[in-house]
Amino acid sequence: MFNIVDPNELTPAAVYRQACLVNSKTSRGRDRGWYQQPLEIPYQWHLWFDGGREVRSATYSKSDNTWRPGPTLSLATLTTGEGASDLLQELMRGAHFSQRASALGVVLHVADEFALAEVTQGNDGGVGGEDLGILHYNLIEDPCEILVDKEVSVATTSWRLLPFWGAGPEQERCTAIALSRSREAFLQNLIDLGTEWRVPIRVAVTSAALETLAALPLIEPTSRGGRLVVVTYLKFTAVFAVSALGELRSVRSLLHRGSQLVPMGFGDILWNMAISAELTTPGKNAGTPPQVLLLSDNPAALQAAAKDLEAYSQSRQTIEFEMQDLSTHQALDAIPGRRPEFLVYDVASLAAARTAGGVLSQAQTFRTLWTDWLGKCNFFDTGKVDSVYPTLSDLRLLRCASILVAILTLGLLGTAANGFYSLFQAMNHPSWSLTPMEVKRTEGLQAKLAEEKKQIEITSRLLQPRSRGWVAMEFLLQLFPEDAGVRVDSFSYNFDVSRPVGSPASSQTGANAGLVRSWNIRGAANTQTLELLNELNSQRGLSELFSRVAKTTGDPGYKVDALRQLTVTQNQGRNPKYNAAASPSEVAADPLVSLPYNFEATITQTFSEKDVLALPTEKPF
Amino acid sequence: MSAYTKPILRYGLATPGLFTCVLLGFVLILSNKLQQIRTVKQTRHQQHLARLAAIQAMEAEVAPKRKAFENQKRVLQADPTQIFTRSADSIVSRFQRVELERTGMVFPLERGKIGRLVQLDIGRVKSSFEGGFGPMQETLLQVESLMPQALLEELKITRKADVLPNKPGHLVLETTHLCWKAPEAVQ
Repeated sequence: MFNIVDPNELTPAAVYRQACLVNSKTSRGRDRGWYQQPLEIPYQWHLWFDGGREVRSATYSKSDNTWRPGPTLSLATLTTGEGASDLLQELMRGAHFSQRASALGVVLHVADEFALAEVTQGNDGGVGGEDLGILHYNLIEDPCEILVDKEVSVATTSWRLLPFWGAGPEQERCTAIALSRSREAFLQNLIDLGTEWRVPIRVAVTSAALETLAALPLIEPTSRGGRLVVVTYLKFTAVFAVSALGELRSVRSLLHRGSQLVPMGFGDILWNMAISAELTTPGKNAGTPPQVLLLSDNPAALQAAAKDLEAYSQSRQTIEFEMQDLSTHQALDAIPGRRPEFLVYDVASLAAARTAGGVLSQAQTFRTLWTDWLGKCNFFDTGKVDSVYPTLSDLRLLRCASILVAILTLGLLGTAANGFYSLFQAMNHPSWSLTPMEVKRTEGLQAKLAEEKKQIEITSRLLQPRSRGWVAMEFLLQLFPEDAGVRVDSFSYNFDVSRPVGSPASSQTGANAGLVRSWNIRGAANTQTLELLNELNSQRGLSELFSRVAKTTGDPGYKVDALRQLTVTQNQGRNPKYNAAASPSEVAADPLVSLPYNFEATITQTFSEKDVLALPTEKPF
Repeated sequence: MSAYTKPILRYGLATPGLFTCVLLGFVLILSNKLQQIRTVKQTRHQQHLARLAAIQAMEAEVAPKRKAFENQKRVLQADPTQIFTRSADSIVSRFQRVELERTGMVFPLERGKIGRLVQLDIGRVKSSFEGGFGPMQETLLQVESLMPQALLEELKITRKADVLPNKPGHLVLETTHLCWKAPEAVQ
């Protein structure tokens, strides 16, 4: 078990560590029971003691509205806190409830003291409900500021405000009830055990006398107001002045001296209180003496009080009184220990009292007490205990932060794992072991091969048969067949590039040059040969001639292709030397005399830069 | 807000959240860097594989041509003028003078139009013959078959009048050949 420290005394880092510790070691972060009021918890353990030897114990299940006898508790245990663990184990096992309790509200009803203290504020009139709330809060936080007696110790005593809802304009409007904190050790033990066992244990310390007053309409639904309600306990007697409308006007606490069952001067005190509370006015209503209701579970105490009041009425002033023996009252039959203080927390009885039409049930005093004031009058400062622990919102924030950080961490781990996996994959891929040296070597090899391929291509193309002399001569023979009747005087053949030297090569064709070659033939011919030459004037005739040459010589340069252009120009005329009547000897001496026509023909073949025979201009080496 | 709220926000959310976010950012940067390296390496590897495939394809294409290329290189490495002269003279010598006779042979230093366009070294041979059409065609056929590097630039055939009155077919033939040759460094 860890020791909780006030966070105001810790550094922020230590506060955060303490919050983490509370979140992990306790169930405060998950169980809403830790943040409920004790009387809101479905399973309650009520303890009552009046300073005698007996401690009355009862359990209450809110869900089925059932009271059961609680575990037996000795006064020593209540005082020292020893044995609290066994008691709590017994309770949590469910033996005293209809089922196993998941949380427990412990209410200690203190009936051995009922001290009252005067307050400086709130008695100047005009204090509304909201102001009472602030006053109540201030009394808990800083009682010295509120109480008339400034020499009080908050370490030993707790104060809670009790408003007088029925107080007149000139009367005190509230007082403070004080209870000593001597029994908090036992309750603190229970809280610590609950924290350790992760079971919400919420505790409350209440004033039994005030609870008995609140239970009056439940015990006697037809009870009327306009009287003093006297509640007698072992060590003191509490007197509440209730107006005719059922509102509380004043309260007195009267200590018993020695082993006496009633306080000294009981009659005088009641008489004076009735007058001050304006429950009777001497001289005016002589026929209506103060009315007193005596409440106690001790018949002997009731008898002693009755005897005292009878004696007072006979000797001094008349006081009418009524007695209610709680030890035999049927309203408490279902309550273990027959305590009226327990009855006020019984849901069914309270609901019945609310619907009853009694004067007290309709009074603001009792309605306020039932609604929230009894809950407010918890003398155990649970707020202070709770303030050292983180709130439910804090713990939810801590959990949300932890989840968010966990998600981020998971994201981080996932990303890191993915990164490592990627690294592993990358390292096992052949690309990881590929060295720049190897890449460079391959690049070099590729470049070398590409260069070699280029050299082969250029060399092969360079050495293609583009222009050969014997084929050019064969061209002439194919143009004029044997004995064709022609005399060629001159023949020239030129092979050249098709564009001027120095002009840039086409970017599309790269380093290729188009070519052009021409045949120029000049001579004389007869009519048949002239017809042959005339056939060249058509593309068909030219194509036939080139195809014939290509077929005869096997030279691809003479093949007809769309990329190759063929043109011809001819100049024909009469042969001035022609002699139609020339003798054979004259013809043998000069064949020109037998040929009637002169001619000059120029045939041109152009290769485009895209032709397979286009000339590569690049160096192969 | 309780005394716990601020420390929880500070130490439970802000500090670890910020720390984790910084780490996450660092890891993301590293992971991104690794991814970049991986992409670069894989791209380089794919290029390497493609290069190897290309080398293989190129080798398959080049290998069968390599022997022929070596022969072509040898052809180009030889001095074309000498080969032309020797082969022409050798063939012409088979004919009688009246059939075909080499009358001249010069080796112009000028590169000519084609030679100026091509970056490769060249040799030009300008030769003159006298004789018949058939022997000349046969001579050219044999010389050009021996010299694939030779390319005929110009051919002129004219009749030579009154030299041999009884042989009117006697011709003057002038040829200009351009021959490719490898640079001296390759030789």
